[in-house]
Amino acid sequence: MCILHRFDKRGLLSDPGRQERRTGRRLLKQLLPHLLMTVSMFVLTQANGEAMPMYSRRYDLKCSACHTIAPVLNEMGWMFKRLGYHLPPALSEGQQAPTISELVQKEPQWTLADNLSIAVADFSLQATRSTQEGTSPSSSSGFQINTWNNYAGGWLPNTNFFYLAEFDIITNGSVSPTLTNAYFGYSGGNAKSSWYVAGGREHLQIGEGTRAAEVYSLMPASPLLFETTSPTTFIFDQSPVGIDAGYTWASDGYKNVFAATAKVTNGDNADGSEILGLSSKSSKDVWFDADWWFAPESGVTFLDHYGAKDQTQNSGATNQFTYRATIRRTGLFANYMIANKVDVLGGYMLNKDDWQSVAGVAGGFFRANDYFGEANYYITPRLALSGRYDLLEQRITGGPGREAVHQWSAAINRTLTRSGAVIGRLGYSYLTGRDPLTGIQTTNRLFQADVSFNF
Amino acid sequence: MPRHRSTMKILALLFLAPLIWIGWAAVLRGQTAQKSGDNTDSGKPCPAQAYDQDAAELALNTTAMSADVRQGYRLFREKCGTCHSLNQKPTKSESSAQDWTNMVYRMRDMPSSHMSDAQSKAIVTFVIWNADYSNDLVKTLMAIDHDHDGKLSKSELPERMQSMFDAADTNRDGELTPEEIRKYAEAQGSTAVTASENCDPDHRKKKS
Repeated sequence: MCILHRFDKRGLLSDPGRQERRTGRRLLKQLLPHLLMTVSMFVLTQANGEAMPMYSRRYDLKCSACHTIAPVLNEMGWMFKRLGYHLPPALSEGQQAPTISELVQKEPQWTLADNLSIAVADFSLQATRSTQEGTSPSSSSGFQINTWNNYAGGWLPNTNFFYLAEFDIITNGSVSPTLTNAYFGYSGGNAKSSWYVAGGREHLQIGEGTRAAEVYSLMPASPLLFETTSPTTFIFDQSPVGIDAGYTWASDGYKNVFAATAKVTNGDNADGSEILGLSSKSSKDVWFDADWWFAPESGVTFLDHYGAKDQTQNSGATNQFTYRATIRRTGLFANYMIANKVDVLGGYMLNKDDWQSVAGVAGGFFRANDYFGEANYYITPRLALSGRYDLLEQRITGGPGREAVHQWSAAINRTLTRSGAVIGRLGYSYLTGRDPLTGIQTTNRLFQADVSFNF
Repeated sequence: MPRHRSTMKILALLFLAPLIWIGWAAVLRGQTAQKSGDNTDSGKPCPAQAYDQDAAELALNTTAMSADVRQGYRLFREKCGTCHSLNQKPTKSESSAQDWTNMVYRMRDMPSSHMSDAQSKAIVTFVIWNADYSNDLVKTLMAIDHDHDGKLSKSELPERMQSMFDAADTNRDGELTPEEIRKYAEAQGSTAVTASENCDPDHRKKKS
């Protein structure tokens, strides 16, 4: 199920009716209002010849100021978020670091254009081939609008309050308007020793974690350890509702930066979706992250998640039952950037969840070890070659034993404009492995060529 | 489904071909950059021009630059050009050398700057040179060094400027070096330098 879910996210296999929905008048009706709004906002917000996303417009900087190649954040982009969406200042030796309030005063005048990105979109050609034991191989290919997201983010003028909202219109090729991020916060302290508190719907990992722990990557998909849904239907790549607080300390010249973040969230429903409103669940999920940038663009991250969720077994059958499973995730991630050219990344995450295959019989578990290793070679700051290997070892009580999933990925990313706002990418991934519950082997190959626009 | 298998093979080939091509091109580009970097007085493009980033931005003629300035220019494009658009003339040409030094070192102390002290120093050398008023005539004239030998012969100068040639050619070798032009400009005073209407003061912008 884990493997299939990944391709569900890409919108290719599990829903045969999707192809029809993507075409024809229905799609046009759904997209037309957004399209009209986008075109009009595009005209309104583009002051210069070259379209730029909101933060670039605000500071007249290129995307590469905060990203290696978008959307992968560099240390500058990471600090930008930690300081409540304010540009990190120089931390020169012997000089007093400015306070967040002083950074606020230095912000350009607030404008709608500088706080709104209305077309962060990705157009792609995808081709897949999937084989599964016991079924006939299947293949599919086609062009699609893979993603289309809108962002509103910035600060309230002359205050330390900040906000971010992300409205996704198209996700993985499907029109499904969703407000995936919507939070509001306050930052304080100074640039060397800052803190923030925030609340709302916020992605578990966006803006926390050093490079190897970022949910973004240069590949067509994020690492397995973030993207894979466990048999307990928990996935790390999610945006729960909750509150969080963070502290950041930086040395002169940002030679060393330490950060810690803690979140308390509602957790998940039985089907794995986030609890966005009130629920009968009495416990909350807790998430902790500690980061250390020890060298230019190089860092280490430790993260831990502890929570509980209802788990429905034998859904739809006469012996269906529900129990409360404890969910644990503990991860360690690191990357090292060599000569500002070669970025070597690696990560490990331990998954350990309660598991019951028979009602009332406790003591079982689902356990998984996720590993990944990745190398990105930045031939120039605008062109990167990437390769990654993911290994997911899974074992479940009552299952066939230890099962492994392997994934090899490769990609070429190239920014097509000097600002870095338009990016072309070729990606290939080969994934094979057995399901921990059924032992059935599945193999998937994916080829993807896409162009993403960030306006 | 053999047909699908062959389709996947073709797609994989399509994927691998540009990968190999880009990698090979990068190797060749690196060799070219290395060669031109070693031969600092050849008048060939400096490594920054071979460097793919922002090829059209601030494309200065490097023949007017000393080796130190050229190194600073390469780093300026590589480091400063990562975040900033370089398609503008310095807006603080009236600033002192100390102002420029402070600015560069402030940038060094920002996250993701990737600038060492030595690199910052080299960039300071370039930005001061670039903002230096007396270099305008040097940069403008060396841009018309058609044979890229790092020197200007009398025939390369526009007709209306040939009257200055004899005054500037202090060693009487029939060619003007950047240093001779700079000394001539300094002797004439900065006002006279920038009032060289015979040259296109916006040459750099138009070129880029």
